Amino acid sequence: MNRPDPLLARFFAAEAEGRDEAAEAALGELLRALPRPLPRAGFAERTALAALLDAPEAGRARAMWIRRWEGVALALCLAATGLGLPLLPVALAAIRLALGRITLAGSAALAVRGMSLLLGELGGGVAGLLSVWQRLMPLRQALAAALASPAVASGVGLCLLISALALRFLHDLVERERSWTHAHPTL
Amino acid sequence: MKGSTDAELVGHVLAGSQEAFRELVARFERPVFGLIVRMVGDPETAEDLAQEVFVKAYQALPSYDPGRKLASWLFKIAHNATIDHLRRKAPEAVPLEGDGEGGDLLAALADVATESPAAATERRDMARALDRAIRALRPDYREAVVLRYVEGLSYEEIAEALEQPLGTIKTNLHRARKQMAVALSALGWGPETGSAPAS
Repeated sequence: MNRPDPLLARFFAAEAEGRDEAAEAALGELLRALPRPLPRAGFAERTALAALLDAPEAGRARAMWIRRWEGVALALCLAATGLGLPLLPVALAAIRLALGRITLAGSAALAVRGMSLLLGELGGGVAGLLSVWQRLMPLRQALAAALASPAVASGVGLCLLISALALRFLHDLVERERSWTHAHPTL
Repeated sequence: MKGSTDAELVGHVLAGSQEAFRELVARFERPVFGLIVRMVGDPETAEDLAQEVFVKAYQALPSYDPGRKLASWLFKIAHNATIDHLRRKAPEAVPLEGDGEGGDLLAALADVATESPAAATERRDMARALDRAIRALRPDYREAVVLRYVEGLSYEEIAEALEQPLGTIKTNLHRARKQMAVALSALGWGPETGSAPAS
């Protein structure tokens, strides 16, 4: 059988009578008396390790480690080059043989065909851009005429500057702002 | 380390002591995790976020102002981390009714090992009702309630941690108490019904 909880009764009575301090005290006592949830065992150790791995010193150590491996890789490349020098005449002979099988006429025809295809594609792209440009011409001319006036040009420049600064400011503001209204759809 | 003040502990951490940082985490893991788990609901996510909070605190410790209360500073980081997390992932609605919700948290809240079965049941029922009443609050009210009534922060410390005006905090807490009273009554724990939980 349940019995009325004295703390709850105190809380309700204080709330009903508008005694804020008493209601606060009762609710505080009530909530602090509840067992409080804890993370799993070993949380402090895991967190200390995570902090250590994420620390800037660890970052620097990782960077040094990477640099060391870059050095090792460079040394290995140099060693491979040094060891490969005796094999250079053989490699050159193989390349010469391979090149000998490619005829000049065939290569030239292939190059010309490739170039013509490339030029065709480029030409199509340029034509597309030109058609867009043609449509934008009236707007460009109107803008050019307006900006010819120093007063308009400086006004536009000033507006752009203010807009850029405002955008930057707003971005920072939104990033820093951590109101619940940004995180909870019901607020 | 265990007997050190918060300021001394911070000094040791800044001097490079890992043991001091572990002690700092052990000292504040319960309040930080407690706040986050109340806000996100899922203990696993809360643990990840709590770890993120302490790692951020460790990295930002050189900029910590010793004139401020360390707990308030950590709660501020926890508040920011929780909001950032919820911005990325929209929170699910928290229903007032229903037994299936928040089972992990309720299990964590119900400490039945040291009580008689009847007392444990009653305590668990009341814990369940209080938990539901808290979870039914808007997140900004809920956060203020946890900081004020569970962690015992002053209005000023809460305002500083949540970066809100003092008046807003007082208003939110006043409204939160009213809503909790209504919710507890609805769950059968009101003054008219005495203590008669629905579950």
